[in-house]
Amino acid sequence: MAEAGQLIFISGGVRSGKSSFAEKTAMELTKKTQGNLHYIASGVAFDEEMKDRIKRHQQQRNEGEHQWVTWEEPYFLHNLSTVFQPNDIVLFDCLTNLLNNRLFQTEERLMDPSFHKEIRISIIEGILSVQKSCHTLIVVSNEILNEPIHSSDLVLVYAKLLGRLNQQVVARAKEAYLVEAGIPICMKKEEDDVAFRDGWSM
Amino acid sequence: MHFVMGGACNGKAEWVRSHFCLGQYPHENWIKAYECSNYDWFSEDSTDSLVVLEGIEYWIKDLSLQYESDKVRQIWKETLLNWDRWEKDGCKRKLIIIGSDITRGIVPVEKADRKWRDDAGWTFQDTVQLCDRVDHIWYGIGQRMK
Repeated sequence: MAEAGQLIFISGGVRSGKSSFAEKTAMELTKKTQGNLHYIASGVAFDEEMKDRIKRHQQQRNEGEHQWVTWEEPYFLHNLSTVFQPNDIVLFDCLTNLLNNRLFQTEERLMDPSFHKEIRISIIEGILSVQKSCHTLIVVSNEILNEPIHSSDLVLVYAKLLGRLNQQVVARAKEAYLVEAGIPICMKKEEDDVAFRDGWSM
Repeated sequence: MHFVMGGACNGKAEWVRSHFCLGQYPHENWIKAYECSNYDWFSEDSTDSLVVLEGIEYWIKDLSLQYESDKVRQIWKETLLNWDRWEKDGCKRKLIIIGSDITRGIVPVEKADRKWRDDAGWTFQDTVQLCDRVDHIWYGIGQRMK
């Protein structure tokens, strides 16, 4: 069992089943650790539709045998670093939402590269602070980088930030999964990592 | 030839840098397609031994805007064969081609973008055919496809 908490990265396309897989993974882990299940929601409810969706998700999560504790944190994961126990499992859904919220929090620095760097470092620090305080942190992200990135400078900024964040989380993760139509594909598992990557020889 | 593909901003260039230990070849040339419009980048007397071509989807876009899809593929295949000949002609030459996958989003509104997307899909298939090795990069993790 890892001392400082471990990280699992899960990504997939829209309606790929990535959230269900993340929830299932969290529930299985909590059986082993006997800890509590936590859910960090980063979505901001702007309108009734979003409010309904959040409520429906919360109800669905608590229909099963496990009870989830839901935390709403659209900006700073650091704020939650003291609320977990060392055997707790935390699911954070999702990184793309948090990046949206942080990037569009203030309009005036939207295109300032130093602001982008600040956001990236702060988000990674937030993730690490939660990871350290629990048994396992599962980070959910999205597959949105497989189309032409040319529509505007802002889209490019967003793509670069999300790409870097995903890379940084994957690099620190013990396991990383790409979910395709409900099927999780294991892209990284620390034990067999080297064999999977086909080595570094030429 | 070695083809490295994957989504945008997924760490493909970084993967190439660490995989090939750049700095060890006597003459390295890293060409960015979005900065140089001419894909006939090499000359016969080139002393380069390692050439990296980054962002081939932009060259494909140029071709896609000028020619019908069949012609695009024909030109692209000829270009690849020229590159392959260059690599095989000299001792210790290595050519690495980096391309971003642009084929998985919502159908583009503009006709030219739809054509570019189609052409990119086809020419990527042609590139895979002609390369000895292909790796797919997902957030820094390389998976060998060929």
